[in-house]
Amino acid sequence: MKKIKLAFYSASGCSGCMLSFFDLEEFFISSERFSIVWAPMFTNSKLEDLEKIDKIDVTFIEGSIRLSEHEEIVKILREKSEKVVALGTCAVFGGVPGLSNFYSTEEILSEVFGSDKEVPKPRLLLDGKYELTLPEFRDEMRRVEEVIDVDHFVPGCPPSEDQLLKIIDFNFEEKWIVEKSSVCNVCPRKAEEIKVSSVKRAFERDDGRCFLIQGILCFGPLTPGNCEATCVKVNVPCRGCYGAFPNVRDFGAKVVDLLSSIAEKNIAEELSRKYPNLARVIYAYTLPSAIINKRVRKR
Amino acid sequence: MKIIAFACQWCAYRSADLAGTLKYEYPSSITIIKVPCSGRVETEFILKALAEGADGVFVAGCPKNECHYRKGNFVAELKTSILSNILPEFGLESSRIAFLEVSSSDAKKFVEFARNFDERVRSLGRNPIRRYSHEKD
Repeated sequence: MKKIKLAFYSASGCSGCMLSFFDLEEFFISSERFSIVWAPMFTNSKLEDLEKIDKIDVTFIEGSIRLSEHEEIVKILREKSEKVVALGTCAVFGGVPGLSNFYSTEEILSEVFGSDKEVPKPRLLLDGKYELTLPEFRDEMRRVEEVIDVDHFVPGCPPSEDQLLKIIDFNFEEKWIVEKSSVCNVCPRKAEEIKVSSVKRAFERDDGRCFLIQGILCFGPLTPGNCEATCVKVNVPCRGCYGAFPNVRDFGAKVVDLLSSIAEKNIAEELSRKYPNLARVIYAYTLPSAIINKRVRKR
Repeated sequence: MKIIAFACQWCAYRSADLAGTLKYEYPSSITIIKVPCSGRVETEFILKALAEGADGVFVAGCPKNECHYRKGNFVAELKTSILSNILPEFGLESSRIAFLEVSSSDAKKFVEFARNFDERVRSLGRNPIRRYSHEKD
């Protein structure tokens, strides 16, 4: 039997999405059906190994694209593979690392390295027999889709078991592998009608009713419900880690639409007082996919 | 200078129409888009207008309690005020967007607001998104 060739690559992700594959028993049970040809995360895979491979069946890319190295490798993978799957919210929407778009490259580097002088420059390092080049740090975080064509999208932070079970036979057809109903559908805090008249933070007293009725920001209505409302079941409001539904262009804009249509009185001032960095809350997982996807500044 | 105005078909658009009939003048920078109700204007529309280079956006609807769809103007007002609190985090000035309530017979109010808003946006200068992406023009 011909084995399905798989490749895994983690750009600026945390590798959690890939590991969620390895948490699945089904992945190991069906392991004679496929072979992992290139995966720097858990096999000894170098760039020159990738160049030797002539064809990959399915490539899973996790994390968003920031370094020039990410971009180059992702482009090579696209050329060689039949199907490219964006795995996880970072690859699909930009994810939490995408919040770095609120800051300039200089701000990020000086925050990490202390002063400007210590920032490593993209340069050639000659270390005995090796020639090493530091990758370039790009101006903005991008989604995988902005760099290459992506065939399938599997959002989630990390993707849930039922999503992975759908793709484990590596023969799936749908473009978006995600639930079509929202977190509210699986949420235990059912509500008939939602009206907001005051704003609270999540750490303020919680009386067990729907978070939005209490005035605590919860993005359940806008988020696909693959997670079975895990956060709400432990009394934490939904922060929208599954990103937006496939037909939604801008998650944060939809949050503003949602809030303005369920509010009973003008809560704008209270909202900005309680949540001073509201944009960072509503775009926590989806900033690079937003219409205005970064802080506007001089180049 | 380019200002986009979303005007509801019942009040705001008619007041702009009336302003034309009465030969009132308002700045030519304003492009009016007719919408069924000001509540129909999604946040995405405003953001898209700004992202494509509009220097200012305002949403105009019916006066309080006179919305033809009961609370569309309230939704639009809240939407613009929440959005104007968010815009500074993106490096855009919050006074680039506004909400206007105007009745269909109040052409004068529309014209006055249009002039003031144009002046306000002019004092802010061009939209930074456009200013920084096309440095030449």
